[in-house]
Amino acid sequence: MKRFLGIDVGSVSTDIAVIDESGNLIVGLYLRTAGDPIKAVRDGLFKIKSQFGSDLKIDGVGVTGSARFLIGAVVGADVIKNEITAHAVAGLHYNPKVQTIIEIGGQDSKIIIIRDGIVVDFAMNSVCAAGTGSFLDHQAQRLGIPIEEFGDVALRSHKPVRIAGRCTVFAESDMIHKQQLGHKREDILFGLCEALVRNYLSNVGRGKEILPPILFQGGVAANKGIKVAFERALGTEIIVPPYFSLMGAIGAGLLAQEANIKESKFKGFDITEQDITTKGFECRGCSNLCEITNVFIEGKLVARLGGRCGKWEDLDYTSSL
Amino acid sequence: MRIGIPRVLLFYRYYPMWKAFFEALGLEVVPSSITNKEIVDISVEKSVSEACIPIKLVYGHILDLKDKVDFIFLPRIVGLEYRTYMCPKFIGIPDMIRNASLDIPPIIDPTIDKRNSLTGFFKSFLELGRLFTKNSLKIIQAYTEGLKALKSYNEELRRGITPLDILDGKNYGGEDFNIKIGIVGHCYEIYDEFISGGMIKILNRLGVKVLSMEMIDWRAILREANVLPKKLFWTFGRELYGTARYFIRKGLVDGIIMVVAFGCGPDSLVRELIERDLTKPINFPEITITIDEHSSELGLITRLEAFVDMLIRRKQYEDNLSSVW
Repeated sequence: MKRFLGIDVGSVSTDIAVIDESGNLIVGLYLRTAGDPIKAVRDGLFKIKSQFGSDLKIDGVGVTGSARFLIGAVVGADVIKNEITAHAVAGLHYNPKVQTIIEIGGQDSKIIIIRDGIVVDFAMNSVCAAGTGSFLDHQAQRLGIPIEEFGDVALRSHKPVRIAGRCTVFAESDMIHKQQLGHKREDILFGLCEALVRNYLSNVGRGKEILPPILFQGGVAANKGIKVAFERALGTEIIVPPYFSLMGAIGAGLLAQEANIKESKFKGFDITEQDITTKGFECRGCSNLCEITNVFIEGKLVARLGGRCGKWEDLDYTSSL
Repeated sequence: MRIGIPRVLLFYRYYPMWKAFFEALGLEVVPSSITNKEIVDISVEKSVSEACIPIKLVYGHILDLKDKVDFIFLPRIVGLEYRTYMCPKFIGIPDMIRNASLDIPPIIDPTIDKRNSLTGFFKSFLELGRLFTKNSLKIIQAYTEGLKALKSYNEELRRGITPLDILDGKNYGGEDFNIKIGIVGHCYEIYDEFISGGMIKILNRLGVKVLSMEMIDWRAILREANVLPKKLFWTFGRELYGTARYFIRKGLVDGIIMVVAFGCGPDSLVRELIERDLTKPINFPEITITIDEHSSELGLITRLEAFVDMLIRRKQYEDNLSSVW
C-alpha cells in the first residue's frame, strides 16, 4: 500500500493528513499554527511518528496553504500547490458530483464552482478579510465564548439581530451597540453568522451560479451557526464533509498521489528531531531591499525564500554559504 | 541639457517616441529608475491618499529624477481620440505634482489632446519643440523621428513581445507556451512590475504566454468597443472593453486576467461590463486581480496558480471531449 502525506499550513491552523493510494484517510491532525508554522508541522509529524514509528514509508508529499513554500522546503515536498486546487481536488474526491465548494479558513475565504468534475470558476476574498475565521475567533473571545461553542450558542437564537457584515470594524461596533441595548448573546452571535454569510455571498460569491451539491469546507465549517445561515440564505442543503477541516491537507496528499512520483523528496520523520532554524536578512542588491529568509536544517542551508528577483532561490546553496 | 521622463502612466506606450523626439532636438533623455521600494515608500508619503497607486507612483518617480536632470517631461494627456477623455487624474497630474512642494526641476507639461485634432500629436509637439529651438524645420524632423521610432516599437510589440523586453531588457513571452492568457489592464499597471507584483514573470514560470493590448492594433481595439450601444466616455474604458472582446472573439487566449487598481472608478464599471457582456454569457474563464500598495507576492501567486491550474484542467477535459465526439 502506498501512502501520501498532505500538509496544509494556514494562518490559523496547520492540518496534516496521511492518505492511502485510493485517498482514504489513515491519520489526520488539526493543529494550531500559533504563529510558528515550522513548529506546528514538526509537532504534527512527531505525533504521526510516535503513532506509527519512524519507518512509516511515505511515497509522496504535497504541501498547500499560505506557508507552503517554507514548509515545502523544510519537509521536502514533491508537490507545492495553491489552496484552491487542493480544496477542489479533495472536494471532488469526497463527492464527485459536487458543483460548489464553499471554503472559509482563518484568513481568507473562497468559492469554487465545479461542473462535470472540472473547476470552471473560482473567487477569493479580495482586499478585505471581513468574515473569515480569525474574525469569528476574535469576536467569540470578546464575548467570552470558546470558539468551539460558538455555533451551538448561535443556534439557540430565535430572533437574530441584524449586524453589518461589510466590514469587520463596522460589524464590531454594531455588535457592541446591540449588546448594550440588551440583546441576547445568542441573537448577536447568530446575527453575526448571518452577516458573515451575507458578506460572503455578495463579495466572494458575487455573480457565481451556486448550485447543489454544495460542500462547506475549512475550519469555519465546524461552526453550525454558519452552516445553518448558509442553508437559510441559499434555500438548499449544505454538506459538511466529515473531515471538513482537513480537506486542504487531503487535497495536497491527493495531488502528490496524482503526480505519480517515482521517488519522494520527503526528508523523513527524522526532521522532527533535527534542528531547524530560520534566519532573515535584508538583501542590499538593489533598492527593493527584499527580506530574505534562510532555512537551515542541522546548520545546513536548505532553502531561501522571499526574494523578488529570484536570484536567491536560484543560487547554488552550498557554494553560497 | 538633460530631460527626465518618469517611468509612469503611458511611459510604456510612448517612451520610444518621446526619446527619439528629444534626442533629435539634441537633448539627453534620462528615464527614471524601475519602480522600487524606495520610490513606492516616498510616493505613498508625498501623494494624496485617495489616488490610485499608479498616480501615487508619479511622485516617487519625479523625485527619483530630481537630481539627475534639468527638466522633467510630464505631458498633460487630455484625449487620445475623438470625443473621449482620459482619466481626470491624467489631466491633472502636472498640477498635482507642481503643488506638492517637492523641490524639483521645472516640469514641462505640453497638453496632448487629439479629441478634435486633425494632425494627431503634431500641434502639441510643435509647441513642445519651440521650448528648445526656434527652428521649425528641426522640430518637424524631430517629430518625424519620433513617429518612426513609435512605429517600429509598435511593430515589435505586434509580434507578441512585451514592452519590458524591448525597453528593460527582460525576456518575457518570446517562448511559445501552450496556455495563453490575455491581461486586460493598462500598461502602467501590467508593465510596472512593482504594481503588478511581477505578474508576467509568475505566469511565465507557470508556463503561460501573456498577451496585452499593446500587442494589438489600437484602432482595431477601439473598433471592437464600438459595438456598445453608447460610446464609453473614457478612452481607457474603451480600450479595456475592446481588448477583452478582441481576445475572446478572435480566440487568441484561453483566459482573461483583469487588472484593476484599487480605487479606480471607471475601471470598476468597465470590469463589471466586461463580465456581464463578454465572459459570463459564454462562461469564459476570467479572474480579477485588484492591485494596491501591498507587496506580498503570495496572494497573487495563489490566485494566478489556481487560475492556470483551472485552465489546464479545462483544456485537458475539452481535449478529451473532442476526441470522443
